[in-house]
Amino acid sequence: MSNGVDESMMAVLHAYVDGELDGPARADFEARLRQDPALQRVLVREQRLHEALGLAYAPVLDEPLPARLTDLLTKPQAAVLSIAQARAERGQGFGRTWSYWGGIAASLVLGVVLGRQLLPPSPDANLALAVDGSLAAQAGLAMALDEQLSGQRLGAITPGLSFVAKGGAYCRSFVSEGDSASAGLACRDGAQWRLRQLLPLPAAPGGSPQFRTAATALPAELLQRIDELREGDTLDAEAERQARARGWHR
Amino acid sequence: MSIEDLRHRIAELLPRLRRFARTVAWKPEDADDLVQMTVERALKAIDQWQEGTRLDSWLFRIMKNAWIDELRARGRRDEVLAPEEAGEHVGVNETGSLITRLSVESAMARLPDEQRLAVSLVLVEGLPYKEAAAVLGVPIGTLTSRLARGRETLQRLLGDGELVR
Repeated sequence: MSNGVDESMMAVLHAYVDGELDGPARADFEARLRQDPALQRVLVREQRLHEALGLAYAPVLDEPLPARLTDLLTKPQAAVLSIAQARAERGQGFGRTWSYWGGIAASLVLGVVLGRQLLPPSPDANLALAVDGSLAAQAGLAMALDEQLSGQRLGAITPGLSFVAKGGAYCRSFVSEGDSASAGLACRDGAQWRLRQLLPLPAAPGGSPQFRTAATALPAELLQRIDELREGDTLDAEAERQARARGWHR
Repeated sequence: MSIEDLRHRIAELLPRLRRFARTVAWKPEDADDLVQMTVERALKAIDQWQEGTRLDSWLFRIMKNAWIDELRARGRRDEVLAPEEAGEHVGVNETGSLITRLSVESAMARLPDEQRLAVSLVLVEGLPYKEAAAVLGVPIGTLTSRLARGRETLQRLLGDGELVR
């Protein structure tokens, strides 16, 4: 090896880093380490890799546990034999049932008729629903994000830019227009769109908010967030169609 | 130990199962599906766990097998590989820890499955060689050579300067 430590010594060094050396073998290695600067350098490098791996994945331990996992251990449940099946089951209620479509229709009607009058201004209850401490898109918003290409309005929602975020999920910006307007960003998370950002938009000068265009209406703060999140360019219409055909899963 | 105690212990291991799954499957939603499958299989076979052996190793082994079955079922390997471009953005405008996470995860994503699992079990989950080898169903010598190759690749991909901020 080019680092000045031969392969058999590397194996000992790895065992040392991994806590697999004890007693005399450990003492031997440490004695050799004191006299061998090349070995010291390689050891530091390996320890840094170990540390980096630990740091990289440690945050997963602090994430809130999805209810579907904790439920498994608190109540009996039918076996799921494949990821596709798990996904299908998870998607139930968000699938193609009449109650689903009915719920969307009701939600759109509410959005149009009530506007913001009966709803708290922020976070927008019209658009989002708290799920596990974060915000999942409500049916009206979710349907627009599911079905509409950029610039195609549905109800109060016009999707704007679509892109792939680092980590691989699709994200889409949108503009919502009721009595007041807002712009937001939602990312695909399993069967849901999860709201990542929602900002109020200033009233459109001298006219109906319907004349906003999907892209130009986005506030700078939101555009900056998109730039931080996105991987590669925003999707064109063809790429959006393909993503839509796959249910916005990659 | 009663079934109820075991369920309780498995529940306590959920965070670690999710972490291991995150290194096995790419997308977080796939990872949680994998955890779900693992727990369900474990509950069905709970009488097969032997008292005195490590419950975490047993669950990791179930997860590894579930993942292999999943790959076979999908039949299309490309579907489960991380996007190639995932590693290209190291200097993003985020906190230092996020930079580390993104770069390490994307480097891990480029390892072959067998090396990645070995690295994950030993360097992330901290399993002894003997346990990790048992999880993967290979001799210890095979485990350590996979580990060595995985480490070498990670070092090359990450580069010394990018590892820890």
